[in-house]
Amino acid sequence: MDTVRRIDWRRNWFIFALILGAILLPVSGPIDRGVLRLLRPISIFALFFGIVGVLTLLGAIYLGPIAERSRRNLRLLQAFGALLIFIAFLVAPAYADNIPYVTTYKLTVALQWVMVVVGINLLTGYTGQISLGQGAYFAIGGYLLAIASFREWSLPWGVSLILAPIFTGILGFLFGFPALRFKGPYLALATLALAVVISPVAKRFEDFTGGVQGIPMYGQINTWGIFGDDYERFLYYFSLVAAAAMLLIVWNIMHSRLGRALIAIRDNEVAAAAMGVNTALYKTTAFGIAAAFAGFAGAINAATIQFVSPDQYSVLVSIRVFVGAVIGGVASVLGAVVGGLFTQLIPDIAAGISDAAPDAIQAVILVVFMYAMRGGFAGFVEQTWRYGRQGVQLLRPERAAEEREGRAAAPVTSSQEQA
Amino acid sequence: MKPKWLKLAFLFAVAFAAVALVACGGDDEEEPGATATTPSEQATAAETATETVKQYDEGASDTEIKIGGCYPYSGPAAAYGTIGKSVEAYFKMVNEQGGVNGRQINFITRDDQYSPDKAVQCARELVEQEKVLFMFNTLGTPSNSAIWDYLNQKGIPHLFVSTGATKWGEDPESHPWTMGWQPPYQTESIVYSEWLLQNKPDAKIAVLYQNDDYGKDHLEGLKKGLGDKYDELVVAEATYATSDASVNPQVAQLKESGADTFFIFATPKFATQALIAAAQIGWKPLIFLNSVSQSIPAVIEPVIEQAGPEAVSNMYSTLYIKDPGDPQWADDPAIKEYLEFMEKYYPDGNPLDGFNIYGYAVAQTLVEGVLKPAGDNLTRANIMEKARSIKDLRVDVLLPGILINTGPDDYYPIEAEQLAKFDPAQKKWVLEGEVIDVSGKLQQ
Repeated sequence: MDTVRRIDWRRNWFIFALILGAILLPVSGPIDRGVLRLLRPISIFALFFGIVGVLTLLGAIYLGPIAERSRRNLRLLQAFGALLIFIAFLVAPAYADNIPYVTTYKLTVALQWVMVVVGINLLTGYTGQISLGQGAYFAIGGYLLAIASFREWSLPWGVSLILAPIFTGILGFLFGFPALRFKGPYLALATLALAVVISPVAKRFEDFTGGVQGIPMYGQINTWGIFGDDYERFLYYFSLVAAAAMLLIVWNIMHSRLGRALIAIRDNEVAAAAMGVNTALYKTTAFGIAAAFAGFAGAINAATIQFVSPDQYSVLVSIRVFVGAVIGGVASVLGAVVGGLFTQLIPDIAAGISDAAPDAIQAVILVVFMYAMRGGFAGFVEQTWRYGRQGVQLLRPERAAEEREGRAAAPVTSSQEQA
Repeated sequence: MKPKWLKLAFLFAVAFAAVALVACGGDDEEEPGATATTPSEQATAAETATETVKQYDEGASDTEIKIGGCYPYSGPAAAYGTIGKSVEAYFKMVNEQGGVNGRQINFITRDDQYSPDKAVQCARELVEQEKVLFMFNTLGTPSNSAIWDYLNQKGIPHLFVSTGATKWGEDPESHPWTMGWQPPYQTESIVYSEWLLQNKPDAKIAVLYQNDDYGKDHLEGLKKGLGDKYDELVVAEATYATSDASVNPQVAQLKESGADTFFIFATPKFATQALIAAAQIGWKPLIFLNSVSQSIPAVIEPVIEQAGPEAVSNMYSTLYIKDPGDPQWADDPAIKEYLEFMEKYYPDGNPLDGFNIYGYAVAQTLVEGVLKPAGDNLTRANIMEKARSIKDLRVDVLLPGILINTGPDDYYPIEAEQLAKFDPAQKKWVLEGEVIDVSGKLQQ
């Protein structure tokens, strides 16, 4: 028993999750009775995280030394990882429909969530400003496209697509000014108000928005001849390229003067101001960029759904996206990708597990995620990587601290910034 | 420097392979049957072949009929989700009894959270991936509004949608593939006005309605029902928005008009407020409460608690389905059968929940009125053709005297309802008079 007690569960849980999942999965197949039905999804989740954890460990052990040799190697490795993910998305239409709960169409929407989430990452993860109102900009973007191109002025929809982020960006920038007065939870509430108010406003100005009936645009959107008339494929690749571009933009911002200023604001606003950082300007800029991303995503989303109505822009959108950002890992580019996928797929998966109480299942998934992975998915990957670099210890070794000190001479730079 | 070049070359190779894969994957996803023709055109083409020959579209085969549906199992309107489960349970029963003409019904549902964008995802997944023969009973006016253009352009039947809006049957020419089921809001209003014109032709009417499509739909029905007499009889109208905190000012204003008849076209929360407000300011009109808010636990009990039973003593609503909890139907064979069904096939559901008997009735309409008559000709055109030619179908959990009829221009299956008066002593709705059939009045 003493050995069991000495196992370092906190850091090794994924290894046991892997073993548990591998044992449970074949056993749980034929069971179809009551609560036991949940065994199968649980084992699949356990297996998934086990595999992710172990792969990260292997990566840390075999690729870590290469990455640590020079800064250029590290960058190359990161670029390679990003490219792998990009390629996985690039070829996704060929295989996506064979994965349960996934279709190309859903991936298209997921990519649009990625765009919103990366905005939240910039705003919350890097600048420390909590915003629960991104759904509002998302809605404004969608309505702008629908109204400007299909209801009032029949602008080409490509023009609306460019107008949407400009308009929401300015709006976000302006909203940033009153938001300067708020901090932490108060700011969260102020932004939440924005998300709450958008749907009633859309219902109120019926002449413009079409009220509850919304604005249908089915079959009215052309693809400029790209991919022939395959609207689906066109939108998927359009979203993919746009999302990749936004991730790249945020990545570059974070490694620029602006990014360093934002991080300084997050870590200590007073100190940042004392160092000469114009905190007000930088904070409103972050609000503006995040809003522009959300507005663009909303516009392209409206073109994908080909329908806008107040009911699809409830306050839940903002909250779900924020949850996605936190689950993915709030200050990381990888986290944004995972967060977008999570936002899109988890409700369906929860309903697939049990259509009696999908909300409850979703809540349980959320709690388990937050308990097992405090820094979100990206944080988990990063911690595991560092753990691998320090040398995997199954048991709690008394001399772990000394060993770590020994390694501290060569500090580990990892692929993701930690929140 | 050599390893770097190797890596780069490798990267290019991978990227190239990826692009090639994408290009190859592109050709095999052509959509069959994507051309949109009207069902009647397709039907005439189909009728030239004899009906004894087995004909199938995607989603139908010798052994199976695939049907899709979207329901809010989660989210703010999750209470409606039970309809989907009750429909599913009904099909399970049909399957155990041998299926429809020897085919098993495979009812595939998805959760749309009562959100139009999710409904679009749901419909597209069911049509394009699961390849269902048709969509059935999808719930919610906003959700159906989001998908009906898509389904009509693809030529997928969109049958018996679960919403009371009148628009589903209004224009069969532009949306020939979509059909409602329950009596639409306008029908309900016409039923009230028919009764009123007969029993109280000199009424002074005040109307409270929600300022959106749902409320305006009801009002439109009242206009159709009262016809020329509308301007004479209606002395006051007031609206509210769902964002309003209370409707007390509106009710006071309506009372000032001197009206003696009060129409409430409001959702439960506001209907409760209106009833309480009327009682508190001492207004005792004849009340017509729209069926959306006729729930006794959600609306009427709170009113009785706060304003006493007199507040609801002179109040009417409409019914078209038997209430399984009503002692009057205790010996009714249809209700007995329904209760047995619930016990055996949907034991988790509450048999007294009106949504469950609703699901039972709509599923029965589909099986008896459309699938069985369609026989072995399970093409989309023929399904729609059969849905458009239901003649005097009797679904036995509907009130006696209500028959289901459709036609090429009649996309409203149920157009009859019966008035019911609330009895505060027994705390239930008591049927009054006869079923009022207003068929054809909507098209005026």
